[in-house]
Amino acid sequence: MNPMKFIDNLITKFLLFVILSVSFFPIFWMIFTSLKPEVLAFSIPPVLVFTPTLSNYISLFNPYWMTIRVDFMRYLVNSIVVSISSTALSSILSLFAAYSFTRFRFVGSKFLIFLILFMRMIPPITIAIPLYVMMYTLKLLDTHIALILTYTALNIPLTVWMMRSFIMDVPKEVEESALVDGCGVFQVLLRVTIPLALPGIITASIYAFILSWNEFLLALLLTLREATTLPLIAQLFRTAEGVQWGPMAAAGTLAILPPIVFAFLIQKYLVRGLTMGAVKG
Amino acid sequence: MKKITLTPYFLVLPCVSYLILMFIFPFSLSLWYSFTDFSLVRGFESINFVGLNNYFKMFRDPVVLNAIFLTILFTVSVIILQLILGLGSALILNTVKKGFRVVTTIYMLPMVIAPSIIALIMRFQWSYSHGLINYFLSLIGIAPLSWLGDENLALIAVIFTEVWHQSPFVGLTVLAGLQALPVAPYEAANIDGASRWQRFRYITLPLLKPVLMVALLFRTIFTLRLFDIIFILTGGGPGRATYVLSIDIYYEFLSHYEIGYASAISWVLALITMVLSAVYLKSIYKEWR
Repeated sequence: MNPMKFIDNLITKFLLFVILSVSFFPIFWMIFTSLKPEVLAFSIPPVLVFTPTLSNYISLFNPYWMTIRVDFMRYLVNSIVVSISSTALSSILSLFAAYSFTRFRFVGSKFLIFLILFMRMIPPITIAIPLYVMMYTLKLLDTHIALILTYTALNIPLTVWMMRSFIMDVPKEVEESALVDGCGVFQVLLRVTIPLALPGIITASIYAFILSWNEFLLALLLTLREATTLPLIAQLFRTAEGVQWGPMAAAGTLAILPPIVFAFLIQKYLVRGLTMGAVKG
Repeated sequence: MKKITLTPYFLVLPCVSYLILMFIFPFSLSLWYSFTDFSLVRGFESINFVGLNNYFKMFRDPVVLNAIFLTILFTVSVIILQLILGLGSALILNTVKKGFRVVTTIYMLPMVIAPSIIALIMRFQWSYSHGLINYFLSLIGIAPLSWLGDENLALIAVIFTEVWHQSPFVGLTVLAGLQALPVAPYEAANIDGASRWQRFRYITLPLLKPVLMVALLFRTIFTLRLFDIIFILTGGGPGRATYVLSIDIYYEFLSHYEIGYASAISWVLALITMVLSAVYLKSIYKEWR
């Protein structure tokens, strides 16, 4: 290796290190702080050597130990219930629609698919206000149902477009030969298309799950006490900055774990999902 | 062989009816509200049609005008920085051979975790006395700054937080584009003795243009509507230093309960977004049909 190439390589490695550190450091620091004893949480200069403790995590589940009482367990359960339900609902509705949009051309299909794409572009706050009024009228404010129904509506545009992009990758000939063999459309969908497009369908669902899990604005507007989800702990702790950084870091760490695991699993298709199929990763 | 069948309609029916009920209906309702004086304080009985009054009021309202200005300033600054940093990071990440999956996962972490938690993490880092940012600055001899408490610095802190949060989006999109580049033009350029800069400027950049457009579109749309990061970091303050449109709509709605007026402002935000989307969408998805 000639010296020019060596230096070149070294600079690239260094820059890569900088990029990864910048991305990871603040998140690492929260996880790191969550393991610190409470007294050391905000000492400056930061204390780097300490005996790790789980006390912050334990106090999360014993709200009466904390100055601000956060019923973390309720936030966690609400997040799980709302995210899983809205993911399931939007995945099922989207799957049939995506299949139809991919395999059939019918009057209005082009208009509909682009209308659905357009919905993704509309700021959620525009529909959030009437949704609030609707939920208020239906007496559904601060319930799981309100969040599940609205998250599903926000997820569908994304899941339809993602699933469509993956179903398009399934060779049409396979489906046609099944049709010739006498299968009906639903049988083809269930026995041929779904199994072949399964990785893509799961990716789209995971994506919808991450979005629901992280959603903040509608959770803030539509819930108060009973149906609050994990992203709202930020709002709760915000007002008490410096008071309870330990439990706050622990809560944050638990809240970010599922999206991180899922993102690693669907990493390969993430770009395709983010750009709704416009760029194939 | 073409049979006219109702099957495709049956398949889309549940999904489309759901969207009509839970998306199109509230969206239209919002437009209707924007022409009324609906306020939760007065209740449903006294909703009056006021025509374009909310819109006229808005363009005389210094708070809204300032919010529109800040939203554009914020979005433009964030996107320029994200494009530069994302493109640079993508070029570096493209050289990674071993452990590619782990490296990209670490790189994209800020983007996949909840924005409100991101803002919470960064709020702590920007803080005057506990934050690591001031600590690192003190190491190089810079006096601590009140990042989130100073009218001039708060916007900078919010911009940098959002740049950090979402430049992986640009990075990963461009990276996907880089990996799909054809080899032939580079071989030709090597034979012609093109420099590295020339190869980047005259081959890579033009070939990446469609991918960059996609990244630009999505970043513009999602930065214009950004709420959670700013809400947790500064809540629009100090004063109105970071009071962008989404924050203004939120306060108009939940603090003043002025649904009519808040809806009108939210329609301005929606219209800006829709016009931009329509322009870009045409160019991006034209190959699809």
